[in-house]
Amino acid sequence: MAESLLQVTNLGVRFATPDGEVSAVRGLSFEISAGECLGIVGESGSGKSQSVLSLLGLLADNGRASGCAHFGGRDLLALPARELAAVRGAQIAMVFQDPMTALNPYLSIGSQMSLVLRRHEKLSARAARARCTQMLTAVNISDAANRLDSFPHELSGGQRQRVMIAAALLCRPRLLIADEPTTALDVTVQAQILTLISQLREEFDTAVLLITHDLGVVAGHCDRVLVMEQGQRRDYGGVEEIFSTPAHDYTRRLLAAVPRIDAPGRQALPESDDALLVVQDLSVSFHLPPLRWPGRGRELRAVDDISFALAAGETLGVVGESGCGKSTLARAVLRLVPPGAGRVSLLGRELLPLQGESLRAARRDLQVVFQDPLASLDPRMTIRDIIAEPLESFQPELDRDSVTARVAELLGRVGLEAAHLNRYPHEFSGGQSQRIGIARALICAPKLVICDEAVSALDVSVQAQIIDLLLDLQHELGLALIFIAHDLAVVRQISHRVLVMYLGRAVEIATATELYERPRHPYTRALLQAVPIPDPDLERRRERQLLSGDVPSPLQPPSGCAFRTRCTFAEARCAAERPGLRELRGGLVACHRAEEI
Amino acid sequence: MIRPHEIVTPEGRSLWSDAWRVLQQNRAAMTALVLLVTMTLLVIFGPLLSAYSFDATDWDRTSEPPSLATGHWFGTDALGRDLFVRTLYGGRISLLVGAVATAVSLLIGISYGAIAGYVGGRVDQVMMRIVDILYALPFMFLVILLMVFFGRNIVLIFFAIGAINWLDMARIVRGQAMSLRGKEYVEAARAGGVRGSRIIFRHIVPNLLGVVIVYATLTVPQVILVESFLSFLGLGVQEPMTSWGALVNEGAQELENAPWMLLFPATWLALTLFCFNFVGDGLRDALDPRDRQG
Repeated sequence: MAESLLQVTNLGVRFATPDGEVSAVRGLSFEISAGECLGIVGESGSGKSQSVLSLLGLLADNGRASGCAHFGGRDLLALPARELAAVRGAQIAMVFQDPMTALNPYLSIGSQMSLVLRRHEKLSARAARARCTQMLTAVNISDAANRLDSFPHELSGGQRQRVMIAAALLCRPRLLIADEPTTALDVTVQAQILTLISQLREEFDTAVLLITHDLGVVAGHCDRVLVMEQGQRRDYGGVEEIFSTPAHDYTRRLLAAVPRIDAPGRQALPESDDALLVVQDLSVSFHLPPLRWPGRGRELRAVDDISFALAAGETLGVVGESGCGKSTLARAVLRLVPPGAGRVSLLGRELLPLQGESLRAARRDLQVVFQDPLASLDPRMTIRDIIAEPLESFQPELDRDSVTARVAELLGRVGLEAAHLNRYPHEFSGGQSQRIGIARALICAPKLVICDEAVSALDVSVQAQIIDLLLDLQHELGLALIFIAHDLAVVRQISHRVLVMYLGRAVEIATATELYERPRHPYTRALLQAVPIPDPDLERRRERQLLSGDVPSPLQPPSGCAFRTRCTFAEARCAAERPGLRELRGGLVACHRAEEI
Repeated sequence: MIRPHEIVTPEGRSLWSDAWRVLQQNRAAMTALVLLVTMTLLVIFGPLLSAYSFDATDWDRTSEPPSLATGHWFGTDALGRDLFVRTLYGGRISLLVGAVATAVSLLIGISYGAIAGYVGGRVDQVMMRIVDILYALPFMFLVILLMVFFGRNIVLIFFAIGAINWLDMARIVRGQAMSLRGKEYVEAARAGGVRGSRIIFRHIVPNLLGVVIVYATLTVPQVILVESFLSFLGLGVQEPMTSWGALVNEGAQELENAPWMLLFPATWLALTLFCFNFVGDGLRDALDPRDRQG
């Protein structure tokens, strides 16, 4: 093994809280050699971020670190604040999860980046600028010199994360700490960023400490892995070893819970004629004020001519990158956004023309579960009141006791105790809150439930439980589900059929098996290739064609096929003519060249 | 599956009963509340304890310092009137103006702002432009106009102040309501078929109370001060009736030879304002379940 760069022994982190001392990390030891990539994996609350923050002296004020961390012959934990500040940024650099909040919106990219250089290397403004340009070019940002004068909001999420990485590498640090660097990004952009980090690691000979909850990311990019749970080390070793022969039970459970994109999903339902929900040519536009006044208002087509049908007991998965209009589609079907053109009919009844009381009545059959389990529960209401609300609004004649009894029964059904009735949402964990959200959606016995990223905010093991619950409930109650998610592996697990969206348009609809095994559209193919697989062998052997660039602005979608700007198969026809959905091998695809792919 | 009668359901809890329980554990807020109640009772019944009336002048005893022997516990003013009774009488006006004007501004401001913010769109535009127009009316002009039409009346002052203050409240509430409208639990309620009015009063209003209460506790002192300003101009309460603002104003002029004339009313005024702030703070914490311990 190469020389050890950072050696952490017996690290402990404790927080003083009003309820006594809480220990976040206990007895953690690991080391990183120069140029190596170590992955720290764990679910939320496992202490993975805190252990790294403590090394840099970035703990919250009530936190305390113990143990020792040798870096370049010095113990980081024993260094006075001033010397530690000199190490930070210059020799150890950090990239955070959310590139928007990590950049100051009031400063240009260039001035933020050069701050580090001027502080640590005392460079002149001009020399610093030159170095920044060089570094931006290294992270594949085109037109780097001009980009330095941009402000953070002018860049896309992926570009911002590139800027963060460039800024971190400016002083040629020997260790780069990346704390969930791709969690806030789309899977195609995630693949770009991770590849970039791997390339830079070789180019600059920097060791990388990658903190993530995603085992797939670890499998593809790390040399060694540290698995953490409840502040302690559960497993530690080479990546092949951890994935093939995990020593600890927790690692095994974690691996089992991760949904895999290459695992077979559900069989398609037999074709049936009586559809529960029919959506035809649905479009939703938002009108934005003009950029300059006076001027023309702009139109944003969030959902563009989408059609699909859904039978009782069926799950339709909807996937696409952020901003592709999948949530707007859900809100349009739910009539939470003003309806645009097209038709939506549920059980033969047209939903879009409904107004007032008739709309309210129609909502009974149509419920929703949102992404953020806490944000979707009113913090000032008890669980009983939250779950009972739809029932009380549709059946006001029920007396209080029978409503409470129904709520209690349903709480049992979603795996919570009736004794929780009087608690408030903040007293529950994310998974429990999501169960409460599901109970609220089910209390009026709806026919269709729309899950808008319902499991995205949850840890993998909790995610698996919620999906099992949804599958059980669907089986038992014959529910139809629209399951919206950006995680393609999860969608495969739960869906019978899948709809792929790009810039508000449907590019492909097919049964889950067909779509995942034999994608027809180049975009679907690129999406699938970008999803990491938690298997180091497979992951490193995979051939992938990374999508370049970012999703174009929906305000100015490309002419013809919306995907053509990122498509490797694009030709003249794609710019001239917009492809419609057409049948191919049992599915629907919107691509001129689908047969050749 | 569990049958209904087997379920042991704990007794229901509501936001308000829980809030009251939490408030009772907040020592500062409870002390302030008790003090406020005591002061309110005192200003109502206190004058009965003294032998003097609030408007009887005694030219032999002008500007006399406080003394237990004479029965002028707070001393007398420049006209020889008993300051204890006058402070209590002033408290009646000041507390009443604070309470009524704030209540009026809360009532109108919350409903108006919550409706504008939640409904949004054109309704919001029209409602807020009306607020802007009312803002543009000079306050003094409005008060003088009211005086001309209806004659001098302290009740009129209450409503005039309340009618101006709700504008601020409505703007604050509207901003909050607009951000709450986009919250997922409000969308979930809409999807759950809950009526608009019910969403406003069950989801929007309780969730903006935190901001509103803090603002209201700032409004009470502000209103009391506005009243004293009006009184000073001769538009508010008229001699021999008085208010804390008017008393403080008189006391300030006699500061050098009779400091007690400022000290007593000012202490009462300051104490009241402190109490309102503590109660407001306590209420805000009590109304937020997330802050509750245990």
